[in-house]
Amino acid sequence: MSDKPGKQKTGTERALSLHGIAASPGIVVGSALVIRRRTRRAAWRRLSRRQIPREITRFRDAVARVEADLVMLRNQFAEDLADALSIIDSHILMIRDRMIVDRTIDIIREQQVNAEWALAQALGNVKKKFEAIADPYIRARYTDVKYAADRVFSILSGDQDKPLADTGEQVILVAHDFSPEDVMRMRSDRILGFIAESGGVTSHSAIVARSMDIPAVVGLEQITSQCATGDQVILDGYSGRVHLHPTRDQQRQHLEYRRQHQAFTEEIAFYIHLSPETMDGRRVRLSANIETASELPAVMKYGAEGIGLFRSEFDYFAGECLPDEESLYRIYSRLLATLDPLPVTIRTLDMGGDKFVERMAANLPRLDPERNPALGLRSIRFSLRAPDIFLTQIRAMLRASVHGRLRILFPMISSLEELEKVLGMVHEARSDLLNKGIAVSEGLRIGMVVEVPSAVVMAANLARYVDFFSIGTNDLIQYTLAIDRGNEQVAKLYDPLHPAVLRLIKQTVDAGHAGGIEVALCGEMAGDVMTASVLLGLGLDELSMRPSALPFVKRLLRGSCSRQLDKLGNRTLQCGDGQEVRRFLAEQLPTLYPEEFGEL
Amino acid sequence: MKVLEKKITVTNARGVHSRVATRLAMIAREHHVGLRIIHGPDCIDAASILDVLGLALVCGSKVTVRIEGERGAVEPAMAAVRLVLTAQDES
Repeated sequence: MSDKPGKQKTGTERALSLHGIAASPGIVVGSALVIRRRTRRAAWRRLSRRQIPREITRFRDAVARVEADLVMLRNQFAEDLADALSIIDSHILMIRDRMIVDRTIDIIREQQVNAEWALAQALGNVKKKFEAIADPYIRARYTDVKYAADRVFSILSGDQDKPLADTGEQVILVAHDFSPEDVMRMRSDRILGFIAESGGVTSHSAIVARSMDIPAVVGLEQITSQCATGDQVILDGYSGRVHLHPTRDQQRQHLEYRRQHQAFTEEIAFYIHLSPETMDGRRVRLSANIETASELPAVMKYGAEGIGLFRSEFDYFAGECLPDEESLYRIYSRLLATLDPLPVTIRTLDMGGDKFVERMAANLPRLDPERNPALGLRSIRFSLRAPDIFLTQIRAMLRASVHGRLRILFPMISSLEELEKVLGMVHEARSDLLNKGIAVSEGLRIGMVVEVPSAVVMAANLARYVDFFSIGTNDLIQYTLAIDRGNEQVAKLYDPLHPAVLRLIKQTVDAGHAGGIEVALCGEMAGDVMTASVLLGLGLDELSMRPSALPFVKRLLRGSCSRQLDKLGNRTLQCGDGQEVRRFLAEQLPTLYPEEFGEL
Repeated sequence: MKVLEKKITVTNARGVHSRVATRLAMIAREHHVGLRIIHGPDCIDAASILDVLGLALVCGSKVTVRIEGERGAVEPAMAAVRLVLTAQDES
């Protein structure tokens, strides 16, 4: 273990909490083992003609070794881990692929160079090919080709395959990146969990981690420099949080938290059927955020009371061309019919115009590159500029409305003028359908996302035109605090509990209620038990979140009484900054909710 | 030897990702057939997973599948390919 020169290590390092991506659930506490793998730069060596056959054999042997290792690893696992096994199978095919094997051998022959260099060239060509792929999910599979090839590199350079950790002690692994095979080995190596700088929820390593119950947090871009081998770490794979140098209290509390989580998961089924209300009977609708109809089983499993946010973008990027009215109609009808009589909220297209033009250039307004896309032609602004696309979606939704309880949600409305235009289009589309004898449901509800500060300020006026508000906190926070969460220089300042944000939420709720409409909230804040406790106290009628968070928030709600919630909410509005809100919550929540926040 | 050709529209939500591509290669091997996928100007051998991924087939892509092999093998292989390209699984 060696610390970088210059890094202060005092023995009483300050506790540091980091927020990454929750890749695989579970809480573990242990000491870190930081693995630094050098990215090898293949050295170039010129070979004489005589050396070539031996070099080719050396390369083929290395490939065969890797393949044999993968087959052996595969055989250690039972067939029930289908996801994990299929990933190994794909790596075996990749390592045997002609683009890797044949191409490398050709390069060794033609250029009379060593295998490492030739393989690097071959891999470079594959990389180029993948980079040209528009679909992000398929493009990301290059990572797998790279994992497979890296194993050949390491055998060519004479590295022995070492176990990930040979300390004999249970550790939490920290590295830039873990391959799916690394994750599979973790179980036998008694690894508690892992933290990676790269990766996402859909990366293959995350999929394997979930199927093997190994807790993981990914996407902490600087973790290998922030954390040193031997540091105590709490890894919370439920929330995506990592705590470095935790205090004894924090450790005890997390172990307790873990115990509760486990116990809670077991009793989840019990909560799913209970109604979401406080002890004194105030009901709050708890609904789900989803992206595709394939998530419906989870929506049912966790007892959502409807879909509070269906992000409709996926269907626009799944095919080669834009979806037509018929295909959207089918998707929306199925969604509505499945959930009926629970409501389904479909948000119309919400993304930058540039993404469309990138993918389907024809028939779309030409766009110059924007200097500041978050403040540019996106979301509803783009829809209004591309009325054909927008109208197709509106018509599909209106037609589907007869199959269930539809709520249409228009994103990023920043002025009355925009809202009037949008409502005008809906009105026209509805008349047109009715004239043709096509039915549109009377029960259809129309709402807008409140996510631009101007909409909050003007909420009382806007409330007269819509049936409901849905507060989109992810963007509202970004626009209110002027923080781009993706910019790591300022990301720390992105604070959902900033009193400015809380006051804007409260203002929207009050304006909506004064206008006689319901106010929902559909940002990530709703799915975090701590922030949810505040939101419930701000008087929201509905919280919409990722399905798996629902039972946790429901339990919190059922353990509350409404006076207590209101008091908590109002008190946070008086705080001067986010820190003060947190301190206040740390004081209050453990007494109010000993089960959720005990010993906080 | 028999050659069978069919047009199939990919309807997996996530398109032909690595699990689907892996299954295609396995089908060719299990049924001892030659399996080619034709998409636009490209005609590739499904034995190469990287070629298959390189086609970047997404939900809605239309392809022609050409299977060459023993009389009794091509039909079941085609049925298996169709199933894989149109399955609704999420992975």
